[in-house]
Amino acid sequence: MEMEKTGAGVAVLSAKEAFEKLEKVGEGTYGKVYRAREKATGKIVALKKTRLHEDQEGVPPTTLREVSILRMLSRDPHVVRLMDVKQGQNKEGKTVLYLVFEYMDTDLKKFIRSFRQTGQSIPPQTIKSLMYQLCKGIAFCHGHGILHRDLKPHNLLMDRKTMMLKIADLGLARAFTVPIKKYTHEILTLWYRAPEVLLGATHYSMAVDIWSVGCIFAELVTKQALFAGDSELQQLLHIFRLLGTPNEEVWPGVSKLKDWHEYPQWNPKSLSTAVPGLDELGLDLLSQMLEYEPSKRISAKKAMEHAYFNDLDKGHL
Amino acid sequence: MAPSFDFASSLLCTEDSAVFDESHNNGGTMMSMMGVYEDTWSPRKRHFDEEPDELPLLSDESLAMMVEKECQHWPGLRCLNKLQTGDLDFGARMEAVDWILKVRSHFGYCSRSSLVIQNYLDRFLCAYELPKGRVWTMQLLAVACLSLAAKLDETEVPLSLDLQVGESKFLFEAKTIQRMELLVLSTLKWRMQAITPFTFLDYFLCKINDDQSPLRSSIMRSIQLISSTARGIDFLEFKPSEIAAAVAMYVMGETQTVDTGKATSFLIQHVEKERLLKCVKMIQELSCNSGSAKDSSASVTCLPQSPIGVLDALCFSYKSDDTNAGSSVNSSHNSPVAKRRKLNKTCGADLL
Repeated sequence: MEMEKTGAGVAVLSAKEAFEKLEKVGEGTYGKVYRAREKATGKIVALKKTRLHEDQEGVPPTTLREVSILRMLSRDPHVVRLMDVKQGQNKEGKTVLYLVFEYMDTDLKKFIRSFRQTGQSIPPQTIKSLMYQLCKGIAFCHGHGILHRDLKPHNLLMDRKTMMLKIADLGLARAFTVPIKKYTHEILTLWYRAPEVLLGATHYSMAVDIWSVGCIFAELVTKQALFAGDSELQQLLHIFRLLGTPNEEVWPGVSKLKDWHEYPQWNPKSLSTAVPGLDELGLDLLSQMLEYEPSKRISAKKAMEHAYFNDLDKGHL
Repeated sequence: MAPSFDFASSLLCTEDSAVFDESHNNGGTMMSMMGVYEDTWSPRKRHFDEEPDELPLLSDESLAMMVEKECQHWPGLRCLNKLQTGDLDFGARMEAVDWILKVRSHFGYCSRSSLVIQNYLDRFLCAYELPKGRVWTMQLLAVACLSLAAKLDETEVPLSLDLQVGESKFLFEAKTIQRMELLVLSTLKWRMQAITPFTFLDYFLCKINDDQSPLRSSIMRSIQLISSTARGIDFLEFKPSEIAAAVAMYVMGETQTVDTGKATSFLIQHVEKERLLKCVKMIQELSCNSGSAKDSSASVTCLPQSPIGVLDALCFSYKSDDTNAGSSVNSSHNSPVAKRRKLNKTCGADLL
């Protein structure tokens, strides 16, 4: 007990006195995100605050997964860097966790919105650079056996000056190991959700992240979400209208998925109708990211080698 | 030399003979069990078979990274020394491990979870000195480690009150468990993505099977053996990659489908040869001594509540039945000859 008190005391002092909160910049499922300055160094950081309700079940699974996965992935420049985890108490004496992240001044969602508002297109080389960084970061996650499972523009942080992109918010991420491992139909942002997840597959794989990458790719070009459904059914119908309603020929096994039903029969359209302004090589890469059959979808590593990126200066990425 | 060999031969013959007798004497039971297995696993099996490519497999580069990282998660020799010299309470740890296995079985968590939980437990015990003489602290530690592993890896996490099943002596409230969780997390520096033998298993099984997906039975057998290594402290001296390599080699050797010489030459690119061979030998002994393990395992079996648990329970049940069948008289004169011949072949393969 005494030891715990002392420990808590130290944590309280270090947590409260170490940082000066500057402004609230976001709100997540379990708490708020602040821009803050580390007093000792003057460095600007992002503080993600998680309150631990004692009537709830201790450390939230999303926090636990995010921290432990970021601990594993800390080497890659395209995954947001977790600098520290500090434990403290708030005014009511409740235990609070602060995740200390490097600060990034914007995210891809805001970035795309800023171009939409001005009516300008994002420059093609900028799109190419951002896409390459995204593929590289995801290849790194997958190489470490981590599925992100919630890739969307809001979770991709950016530095406006350097145009660096970093993957963030790994609270829904999962490690994959034993092949019999089963995943649930947990909350995944609908617009970027892979069709096999929408159809109830629980043995999904790295391909679910690649589908999301493809949706983000299209959105960078058009500045609009590619498939913007407002229900799971509508999400599927949006996908089927563009890519054609899948059948056993294009996607062996699709009709056996748990949530498969009869759907209106659409023929596939050309991707160029949905993503005008993307060149031939880009359309080819996009089509490989949006393959129906998960095992045929391109991997992140292979995507990095695609000819679409040939003329990109990769030296600083 | 010769007497020792005969002894081993005798044990193996008994085991094989037991299996043989099982199928004869309890045909109905076996068929019934198989029926249960088929009914339970049919949907999953179809899915597995139809989309094998969907199963993520570590790339060569990933494997190298994992081998590099596993030392961060490995309690290793330091922990083993502490347990052997009595600095750590061996008995209390064993009680905690047994409790973990019961609870895991109760909730139907996969085998990996046990190893993850024990990884947390052992790493914590090496890094932090629990107060002496307070027996409840080990129990609380076990509950906290179980809770953390469930949150990290499982899709359904029971309430902390429900988590404390299986005749535990103490019952802790959520607030207390939370404080212990935070202590474990900070002590382990939040490095909770434990690298276990399961991290490497698929890769090794595929590679020594000429890049073909291994049989499900090989995967199941491997999972079973890896889980068995966790009950004692003997395997603490080996890294997860070494255990995975040894189990993969042993299991694929058991099925007679691969050249063990070729398998060895592949595996020693990733793990030290001497340690690999020593570990294989210990896996073999573990497999032979599974009689006593069966008794222990049988008592661990609880009613599972999910398909994974059903499979694990079936494995335990099989072991239990095997134990019973072991006492049957071998009535066939031809069996010993056949079994002995097979055994010689296996031993010969090992010597290559």
